[in-house]
Amino acid sequence: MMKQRYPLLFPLILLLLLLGTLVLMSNATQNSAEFDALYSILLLFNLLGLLTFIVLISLNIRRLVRQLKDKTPGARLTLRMVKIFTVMSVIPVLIVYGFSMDFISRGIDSWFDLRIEQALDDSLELSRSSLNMRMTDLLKQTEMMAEELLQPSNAIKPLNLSKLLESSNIEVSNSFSAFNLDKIRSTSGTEELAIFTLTGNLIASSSSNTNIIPNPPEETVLLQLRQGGSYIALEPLPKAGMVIRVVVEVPQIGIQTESRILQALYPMASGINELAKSVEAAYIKYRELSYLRDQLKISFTMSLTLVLLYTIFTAVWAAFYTARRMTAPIRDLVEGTEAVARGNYETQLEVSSQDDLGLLVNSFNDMTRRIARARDEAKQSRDEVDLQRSYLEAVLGRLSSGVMAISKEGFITTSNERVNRILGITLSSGSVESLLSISEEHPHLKPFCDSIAYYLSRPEEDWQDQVNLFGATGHQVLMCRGTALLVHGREDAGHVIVFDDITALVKGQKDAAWSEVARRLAHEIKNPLTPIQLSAERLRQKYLGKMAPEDADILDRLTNTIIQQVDTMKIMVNTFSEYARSPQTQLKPTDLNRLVYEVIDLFQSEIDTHIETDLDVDLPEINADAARLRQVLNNLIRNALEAQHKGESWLRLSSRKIEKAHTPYIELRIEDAGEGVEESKLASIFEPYISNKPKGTGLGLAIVKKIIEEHSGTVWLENRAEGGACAVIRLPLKVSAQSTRHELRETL
Amino acid sequence: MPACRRLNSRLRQLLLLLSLFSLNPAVHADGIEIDTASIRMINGFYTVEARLIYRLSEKAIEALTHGVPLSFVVSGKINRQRNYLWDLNIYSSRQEYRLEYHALTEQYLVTNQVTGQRRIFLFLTDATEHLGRITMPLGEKAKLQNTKRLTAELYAALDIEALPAPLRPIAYFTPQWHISSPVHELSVP
Repeated sequence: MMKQRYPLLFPLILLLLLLGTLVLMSNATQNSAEFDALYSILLLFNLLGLLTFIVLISLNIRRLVRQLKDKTPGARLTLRMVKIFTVMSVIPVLIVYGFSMDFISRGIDSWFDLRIEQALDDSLELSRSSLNMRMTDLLKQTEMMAEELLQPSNAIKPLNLSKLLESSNIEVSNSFSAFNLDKIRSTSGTEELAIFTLTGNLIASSSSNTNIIPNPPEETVLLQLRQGGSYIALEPLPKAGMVIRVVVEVPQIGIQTESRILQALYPMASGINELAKSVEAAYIKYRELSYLRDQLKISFTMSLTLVLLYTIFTAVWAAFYTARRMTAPIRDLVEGTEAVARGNYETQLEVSSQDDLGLLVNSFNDMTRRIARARDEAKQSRDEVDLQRSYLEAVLGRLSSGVMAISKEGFITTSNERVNRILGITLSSGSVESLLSISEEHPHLKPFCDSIAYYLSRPEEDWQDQVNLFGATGHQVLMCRGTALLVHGREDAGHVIVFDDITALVKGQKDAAWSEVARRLAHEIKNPLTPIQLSAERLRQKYLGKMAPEDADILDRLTNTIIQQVDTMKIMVNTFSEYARSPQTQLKPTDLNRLVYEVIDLFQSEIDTHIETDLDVDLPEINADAARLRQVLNNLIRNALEAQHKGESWLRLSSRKIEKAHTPYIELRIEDAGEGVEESKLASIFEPYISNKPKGTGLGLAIVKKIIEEHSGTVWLENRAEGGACAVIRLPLKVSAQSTRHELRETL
Repeated sequence: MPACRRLNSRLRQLLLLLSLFSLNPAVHADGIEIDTASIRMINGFYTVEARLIYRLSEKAIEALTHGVPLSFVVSGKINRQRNYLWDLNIYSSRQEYRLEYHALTEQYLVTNQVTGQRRIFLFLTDATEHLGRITMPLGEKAKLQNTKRLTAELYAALDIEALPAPLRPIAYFTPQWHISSPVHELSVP
């Protein structure tokens, strides 16, 4: 507050001082005796004060210009206020100034009237005429006195003649007998009588005031007298008023007498004296005023101009001051708003007044407090949500099921990691993909996407469906369950889908079922086969030699048939048993390429079989049961060869290392140029008793699949675009300790 | 009042300096010329005897005849010269005269403002000639017996501050009102 008062106090005090000096100046202009001597100082003080005001205003203007350039809040408002204040003060003040100037000029001019001037001139002239008449009489009287001085009789010593003689050392003419100065003076009524030589030397004098030594006439008077004239003049004496000085020549007596002059001072009657002084004073005063008319106008104009400038400068300064005071809270508000925009919600502004602006500031402070509180609450909620989300993500991440949230439009908004693993795709967090784009990018997932899309259109029902997929990892069975998301205040918030890969479960169930069936069938069928075969052999043995040739032939054929078929059934049962049996898989590091070459060698001997190989030489070893893998290869190669016409067999075997879903695999492809597999059988061709061949047990591929699955791999058939089929085996790559040492050795 | 007058003289000098920048740079012959000046010992006092020639400007004469009295100040000083500082003032004296026109008698009055003595002249030239005769005691010699390096100066000027108040601002900025003599240096016997 003190800081605010200082800028207010100083200009106010200055203004009051300047106004005071203006008042004094005005008095001095009107010829006030008290302030007349101070006029110049007052004027200078006012000019300095004006300069101070100009500097003050200039500093304010410069600051305002800088604020406008910097686009400081409140600068434009200040400019507007200054303009308004200035216009509001300048216009009326200028009008008053103009009219005042006119009034002053007219007023001063009205003081001076030609008639008054004429009257004063006439008065002076009248006074002079009156005095001239008196002076003429006194001249004559003095001349008579001069002649009277020549009278020889009645020689009376002047009372002060001896003193004069002693002090002035004047030579006295013995022939001068007119020592009747005193008498003459007393009778004539003069104040002083003195006799001088024409050179100005005092001869004698007589005065009513004995302390005054008469002044000799001026040289110009003496010159006039030397030229034969007399001198008479009215002389204003200080304090004594006006006197009439007459100087006449004293007539000479004889030739040798030096010329003398008689000087007489006649006082004027006090009344006439006063009147004359009055007339003279008035005349001189009027003349002086008349002469100073223009200067008076200038002085009053100057005073008025100073008042005008003070008024304008005061108004401008007041504008700056008021605007500063008004814009200060606005500026604070703008800064506070910017701070809030930057995120600083703890901003609180100082309330400097209790007016509307103070109310605004209070409202701002209240607003920031509320925002800060809301922010804190939102942060707290956000933290809780983040915690819940982290918990949910942790839970979902550990789920064995895939969880997806799908919007009504079919966009996957949320998914857990398990979704990627099950579907074999990569849904990155933050990106939103649609079912459509997924099915386009991964065609093998189309059934999955179509199933979900179908149920999305029926949001009112919870649904469950089993989806079969055939993709890079072979046959995959997904159990999908879906339900509509219920979000408060939002309809059709989407669906949440939970699906599990039940391929292993289904396969396990199937295998278990088939194993049980196979085991039971093998056991139930195998038991009667031996007695049947034995019975048939016994019949042959007992009756074949005893029967007629024709009957023996028939018996022979029939029993052979029975025995062969029994053998066939035994083979079938053994194969079935083998399929049903779960032998111990003994995993050892195995070079798959070497295994392939070994199996190929078995078939090289077959005529017209062209086998191509494209095996990756850097294929790492895998943990596998070589004997069982050999069986797999044997089955698949044989199937491939049997699918082609004899003599035109072509095979291509290729191996490579791949990575799917961040898991490295060994992929082995066995391609043939046969007729391929019907599309409808591709899904089930690895199931028992599903065969493409006219004859066979139908368990070969089932056994292949069983062995591959025991190795945690996948196998499937696909048709080649060029014709023929391709069997694809994928075995997971488990880097063995031995192979790691081998790789390290090679690296070193 | 005398203190005020001295202050006003400083002010007058300042404004005189400012008036050098006035718009009327015309050189004029008006002014006060110190024709002769010397210092004599009279009754044990350093006394300046000088003859000044007053040349009043037209404006000054016009103002005088219109009833504006003109005051002239004659000031004399005795200083002691110093090596590194300004001269030290030992004695200073001033005489003030008032020249006015008496309309009724059509004469010119010269009044000594200090003594009150008045002389009356029919012609202005006589009055100014009387003004120009200066006899001004400065100071007692006995007090400066052993003081060396004494200098004296004489200066005369129209006192603008004695003019009527409305005339002063204009007088400060009008060269015709700057009736003054140069500072005349005198040797001290």
